[in-house]
Amino acid sequence: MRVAFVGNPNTGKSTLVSSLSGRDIRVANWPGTTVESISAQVRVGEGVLHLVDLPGVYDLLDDGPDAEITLRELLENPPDAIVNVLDASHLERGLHLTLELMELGIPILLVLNMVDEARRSGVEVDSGKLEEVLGIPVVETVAVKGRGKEEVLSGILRARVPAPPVSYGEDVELALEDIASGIEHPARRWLALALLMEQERPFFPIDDSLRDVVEGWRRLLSARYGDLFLYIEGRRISVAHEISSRVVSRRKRRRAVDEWLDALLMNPVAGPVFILLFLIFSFRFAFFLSSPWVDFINTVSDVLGGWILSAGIRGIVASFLIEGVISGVGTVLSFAPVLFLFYLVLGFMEYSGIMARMAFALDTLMAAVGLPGKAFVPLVMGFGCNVPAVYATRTLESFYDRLRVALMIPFMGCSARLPVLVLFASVFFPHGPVPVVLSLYLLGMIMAFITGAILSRMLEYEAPSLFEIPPYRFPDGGRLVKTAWDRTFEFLRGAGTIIMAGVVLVWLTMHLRISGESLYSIISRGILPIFRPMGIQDWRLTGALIPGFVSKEVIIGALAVGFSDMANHLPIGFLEGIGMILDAFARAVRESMGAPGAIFGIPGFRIPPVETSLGDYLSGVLTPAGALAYMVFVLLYTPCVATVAAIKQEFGGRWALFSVLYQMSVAFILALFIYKIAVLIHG
Amino acid sequence: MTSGTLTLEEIEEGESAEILSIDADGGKFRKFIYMGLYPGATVRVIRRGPAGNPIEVLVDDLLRIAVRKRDARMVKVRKGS
Ligand SMILES: Nc1nc2c(ncn2[C@@H]2O[C@H](COP(=O)(O)OP(=O)(O)OP(=O)(O)O)[C@@H](O)[C@H]2O)c(=O)[nH]1
Repeated sequence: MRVAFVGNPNTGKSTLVSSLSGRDIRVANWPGTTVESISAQVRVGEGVLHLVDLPGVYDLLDDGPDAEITLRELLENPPDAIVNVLDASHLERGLHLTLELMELGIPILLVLNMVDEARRSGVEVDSGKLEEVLGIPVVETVAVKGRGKEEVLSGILRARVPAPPVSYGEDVELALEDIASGIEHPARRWLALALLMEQERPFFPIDDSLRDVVEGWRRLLSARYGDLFLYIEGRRISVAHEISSRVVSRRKRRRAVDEWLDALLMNPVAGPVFILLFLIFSFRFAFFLSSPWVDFINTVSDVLGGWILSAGIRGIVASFLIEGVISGVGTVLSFAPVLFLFYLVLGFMEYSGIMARMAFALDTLMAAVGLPGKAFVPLVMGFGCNVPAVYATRTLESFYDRLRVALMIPFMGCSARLPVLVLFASVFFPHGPVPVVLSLYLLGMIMAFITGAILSRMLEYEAPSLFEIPPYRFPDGGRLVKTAWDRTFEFLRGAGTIIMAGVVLVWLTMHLRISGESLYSIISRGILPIFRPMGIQDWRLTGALIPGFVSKEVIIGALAVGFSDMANHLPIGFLEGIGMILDAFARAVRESMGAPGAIFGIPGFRIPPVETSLGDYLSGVLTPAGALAYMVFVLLYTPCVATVAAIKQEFGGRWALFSVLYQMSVAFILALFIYKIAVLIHG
Repeated sequence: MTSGTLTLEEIEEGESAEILSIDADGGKFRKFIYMGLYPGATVRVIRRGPAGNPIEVLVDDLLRIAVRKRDARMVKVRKGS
């Protein structure tokens, strides 16, 4: 027996299916987690149930891929029963879909999930009465705790084909019967409704002769009811409303803490200030806690490299293993702590209800570029690391909003770019490096907002921006950790290969030789003419941009020692290596303990002493104006390979390519522009 | 009765109103419905954000929804409930 799980996004379908089947289905607390159907099996007595988890929808006729997948599955492969999952706190919204599903002619069970949440916010649903009113079995569950599992299983066996729940008036019913009689499909009544609503889909099982019949009825009925789409929707809305008003009772009183917190966080003046502080501190927390672990992963890679050398492997093979494979895997893994902690913070904000308050406080600001207030969060996150920021766009509902924000994010100067900017600023502007660096970051932000504004003109998308302000709740730590880990794992699996490929590609440019010259130097010299107009005259400067694609901080290394210099890798003995790893681990633990204190420190640029040889070399090949142009270019020229991988994973290869090309052009134009201005001012 | 027709944008903080209609089509209309803002619902304006945007409304004493001024103009209401 096949059972399809259908419901609004984020009502707990995947959680329920996992808990019924004991199989772990990816569950994440953002809408649209299930983008394709996933199935699992469970034994009940003699038989086996095949559970199919379908993408969340509000209406089977919605635009977009989610609704299409769900509708196709229901029509082309009708399940033996539907389990319609509803969020008990939002009964009316869910019932709208229920009324539609009940027209499909498939046995249906209604699951009221998240009754714990509902109770906490003072909503009580009388499920017995609901069962009576709708004439289908209704079961209450708390899917995360596995409560109500047995009832769901026995409920599935009790499910029967329901009577049509909404009557549309005598003449419409007559039309439906007439049209349905020409359709060979269990869902004929639903199909007839869709045809009347002028909502045909290429995969509907109907033949052409029927179209004239439908056309005739449409003409007749719209004379009486106007737009039939609106009329039919309208009937469902009023029935859903009427039912929910009969079965839902609510306690009005809100907790005093909620009122108090809202008065603070949603105050027009104090709100944005608190929200900004909260964002800054929580991202700093994520950042400080993750960086010791990134260091740890780097140490492990160094030790592995050392072991390879002490095993007697040398030359090109050693170089490939160390700088290609190990460094590639290391790069991928070093994102894990960062992503995990950022996701933890993001999960906390979403789940606690703070995210909605942020959206409220910052709505005006984001409205200026046509984005919802929530979009602020991924943008700020971008200052820490662009990669989780791109994934954080998932908290936005519309595809176009997500895409626009993702294309803005690479302009937010992430922390990997900071060392490069600081280095150049302290060599070329020794009297005031900090203002120079800050104005570059500001430039990035301005470009991000210009990009957003341009894109919103082009994509011309104007959905009403409505969002719910949920009650505050205290997140369950275990679940936050699990969700954060799931999201991190998704990244490692999805983006890992692309990042590896990027690293190996860069390695190849270093080591492939064409008539005695490395590809690296051929490319570096080849692109140099493009950079000459902005005062960059040395091919090593353009060369360093190549490994910078992997990660921008590598640029310094590439300038300092020459990227492919194996001298910085030393053979390491086995025991010595183990010792180093243990040491690094102890240090990471120690530093993590210190992190909560460190977040309250003043964000300082600790300007590290620049090696005099590197400083001399740089001031030998660049003027301050050229240095400024180089800094602008480095800040903007391309999202790093991991960000590109993230954009590809979320929006497809085309948009990832677009992002790279767009950043390049902007970086080039701005660098040139700023160079010219600097030269004009300083001669 | 029609003399009292306003838009949601014009309702003051702390005041209640009943939704009469929503001037939006198809997908836009649905978005309002999903958020509980359907004709017949009662809304109370709780507060406004910075520069008056967005407007927090309590819908049917149950859901708190934030609505931008621009969108609030599409919601026709009648004061009182
Ligand atoms: N408090 C509470 N939370 C729940 C319950 N069931 C699920 N959740 C949480 O709700 C969130 C969404 O659950 P999912 O299972 O991803 O929802 P879904 O309906 O499959 O979502 P889509 O696949 O995006 O449509 C997760 O964070 C769950 O942990 C419940 O009964 N009570």
